[in-house]
Amino acid sequence: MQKAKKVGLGQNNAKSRLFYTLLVLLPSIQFLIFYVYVNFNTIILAFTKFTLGEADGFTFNNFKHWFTSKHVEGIAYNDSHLWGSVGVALKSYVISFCTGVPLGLFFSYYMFKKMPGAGAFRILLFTPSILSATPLAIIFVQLTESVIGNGGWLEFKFWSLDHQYFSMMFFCIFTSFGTSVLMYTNKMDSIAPEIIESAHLDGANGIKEFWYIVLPQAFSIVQVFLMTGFAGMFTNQYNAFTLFSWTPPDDVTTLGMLLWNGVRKANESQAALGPYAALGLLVTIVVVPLTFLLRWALDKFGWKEE
Amino acid sequence: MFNLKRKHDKFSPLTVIMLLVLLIWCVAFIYMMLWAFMQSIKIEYEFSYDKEHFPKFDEMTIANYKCVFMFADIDNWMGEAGSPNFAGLIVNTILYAVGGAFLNAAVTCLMAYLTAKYSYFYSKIIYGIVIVVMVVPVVGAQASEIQLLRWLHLYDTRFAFMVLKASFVGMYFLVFYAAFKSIPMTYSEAAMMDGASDWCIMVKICLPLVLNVFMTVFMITFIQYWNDYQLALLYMPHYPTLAYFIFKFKGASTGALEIPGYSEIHGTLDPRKIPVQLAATFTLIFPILLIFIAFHKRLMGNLSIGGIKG
Repeated sequence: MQKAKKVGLGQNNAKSRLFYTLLVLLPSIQFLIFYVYVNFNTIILAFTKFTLGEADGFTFNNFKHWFTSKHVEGIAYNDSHLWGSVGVALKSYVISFCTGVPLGLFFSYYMFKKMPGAGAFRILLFTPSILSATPLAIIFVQLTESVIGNGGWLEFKFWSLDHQYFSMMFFCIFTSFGTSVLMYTNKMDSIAPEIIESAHLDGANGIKEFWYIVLPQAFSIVQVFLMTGFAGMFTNQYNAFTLFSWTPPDDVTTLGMLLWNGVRKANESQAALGPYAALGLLVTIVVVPLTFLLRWALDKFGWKEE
Repeated sequence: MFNLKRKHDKFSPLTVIMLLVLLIWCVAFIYMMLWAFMQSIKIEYEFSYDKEHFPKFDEMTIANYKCVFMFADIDNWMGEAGSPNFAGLIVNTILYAVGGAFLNAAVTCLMAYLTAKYSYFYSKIIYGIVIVVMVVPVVGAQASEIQLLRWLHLYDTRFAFMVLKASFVGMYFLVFYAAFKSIPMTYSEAAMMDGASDWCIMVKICLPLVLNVFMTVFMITFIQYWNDYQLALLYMPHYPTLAYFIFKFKGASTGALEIPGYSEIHGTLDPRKIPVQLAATFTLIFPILLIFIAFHKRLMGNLSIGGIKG
């Protein structure tokens, strides 16, 4: 059988090959240095022993620090920090997923049905996602402290020790609908009107239409958010640093926050960076197979579009 | 793409509940922003007595904004010399946001073009790399990144961020890739028959056809970098951007500021005071809101791996 002729620029042309090579060269070098080398160096750093700031052989201590209580170069690493932050990260992921996703889907369904004000709601819901988290956090904190809480409209103390985690999650969810609603509505809009009409002829009401037609069609987007959210669960800070600045309390410190803030504090000292490289590696080893497992489970048991 | 022209459906119990929830959300958000803006133009003295209501006309002032501009070199006020004035902040922000966004979009676009149009083996490798990097989450490489930047003498320079962001890996690669794939090969083939070089085909034929996609990706990335303060804080702490400054301003612990003529009437200004902090937030918000108002259709267009329809 005759092979199909290859389609593409630069077939058997030396000048084209040179052009291609020159253009891919710099981005490829950038990738090799800032992705491949950086990640490889993380592995090396995680196993490096430092003596007086100089690399001095191989060690497992950078991992061990996280399961005992240690001080390296004045920075404390301990198991209560680690397990506490893992717990906060898991809890935050579950809360944001269980509230944010259903609400986002319902909002998108309203817009998909082209109900009154759908366009304006869509723009307004998107607005917080284009604004910086810091100004929004300042405004939210001031409004809840000065006007809404503390005996203003409500007796509720938003930023007391007991309520600060709730307030942080409320802020995260309140400002999180932009991208998800945008993607859900775009996906829902591709549903053929005939399917909806035939469901109506069969007597489906709004809830049945949502559950049996709209949700399965939009599930691929839910799947994307579930996957990216899961993969990012241990790097997401849920605005803890934005809201609580340099010293966030333990009950709002996620693993992402612990890692980021730790690296920021430790960046003057090579020895102090080692345990954070080790923690990053440890988390990657745990998250990668779990992410693939989740993907497999969603493909096998999730809704199918057809 | 989301289409509003279709006639809307009848209300059902579900859509009525959603309408109520959406109305509550929108009223809360609009009130939050309006309240913040109104307090940002309120005299501090008035604010301390009435935090809830909007100011009367004679209680309005732009002095809070003046205070923000004067406190731009906030580290100097806090006893750490070396932070830039407001103009310096703007220069850093533009280099960071415009430079970073342009470099990121340009490198991604270029690599997507080469991968989509040249069917070499290396193109397949690049495509595979992008997919693998997107699927496999790598956590905690910052420690190593900082070490590398120090070694390259790029740490705490204006270029650190740009070098880091000149990367083709990410979702927008797939967006550009799909856009270039959708351009018929006949265009390039006709140009080749007329003697056009590879450079000429890329610059004069293919890139203009994806200019719309490029502008959208550039704008989305620009907004993302404009708002980001954490990378600046980590990789270039002595070159603060506007977002980084607002974050520092939030935690300012410095004393009061004398603005000539103002203090005689209203007392001294202090960055710790709430109206000044709220004014600081709007210096960061206003430019992005203006861009959003002007380009919201493009920014909210159909962003998909099948391309962007603005």
